Amino acid sequence: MLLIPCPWCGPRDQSEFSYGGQAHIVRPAEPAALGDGEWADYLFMRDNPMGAHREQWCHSGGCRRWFNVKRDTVTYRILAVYKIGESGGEGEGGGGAP
Amino acid sequence: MAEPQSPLHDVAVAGGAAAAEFVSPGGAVRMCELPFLGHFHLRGAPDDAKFLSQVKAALGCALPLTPNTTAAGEAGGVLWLGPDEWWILTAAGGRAEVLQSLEKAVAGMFASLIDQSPGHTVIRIIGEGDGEPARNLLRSGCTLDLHPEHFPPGRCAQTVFAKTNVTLLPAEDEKNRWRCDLVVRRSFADHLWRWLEEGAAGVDGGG
Repeated sequence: MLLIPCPWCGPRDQSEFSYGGQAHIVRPAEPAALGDGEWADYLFMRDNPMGAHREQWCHSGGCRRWFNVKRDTVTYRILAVYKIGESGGEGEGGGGAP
Repeated sequence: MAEPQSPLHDVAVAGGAAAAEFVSPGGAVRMCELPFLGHFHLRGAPDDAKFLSQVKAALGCALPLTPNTTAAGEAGGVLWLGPDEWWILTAAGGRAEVLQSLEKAVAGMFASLIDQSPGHTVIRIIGEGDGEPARNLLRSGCTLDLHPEHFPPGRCAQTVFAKTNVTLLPAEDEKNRWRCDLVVRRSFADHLWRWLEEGAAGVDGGG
């Protein structure tokens, strides 16, 4: 069980949160200009790193805000937590820099 | 128009009281429903000075901007729910007036005001003695740290309690007893009440 530090509510039990997948995936500016491969890449392909991974979480059982978490997929240690729209420090990690 | 009916109506009728009541077998935990309170859900920009000042004028207190804190005004209690989201809980009697003055305060503004009163109810837990049995009862339903040092009056917390979403509101009553109000959705009130009733039997005597 993870103890996730919500940027607003502080550390709360994982059971209060919903997972939202990899963070910082930007919707293409011109979807119509993309080929099938690029579109499929945007829709379905996600990083699966061993180590730091940037992901989205929602405090659905609490303040209902979405935020970003940088988590180590090996140790499960949470390395950083930052609000949507913030960069969360250096650009390393699974999701890449925003 | 038909009289409004509390979601714990059946419990109240079975107990022969106006509202649902319960005392644990050992007397350490008391429980009652506070039906028909006004529950107004307010959203607006926390950096909009006009919004903040007009709502403050309507409520008699400023909106709490610190996460998970509450404020008390003439209109009732105000709970922080999110960075741009608040709940205003008012006494059953003055519901219409408070709603009206809030409506006036946010008219024409980038804000939202919803009357959720019929959708929620409040279950009040009162702990006799040091309140520890009552807190133990609540501890078995959620993972929050409920010790008064960490969760004193003036705070609030939304959490998952016994598989449903509940907002906890700790306070101290006029007899210096620890108490906690649980705001719960109407359709889960019966489940939560029966869960608490059953659990209360196990925490009497502090164990």
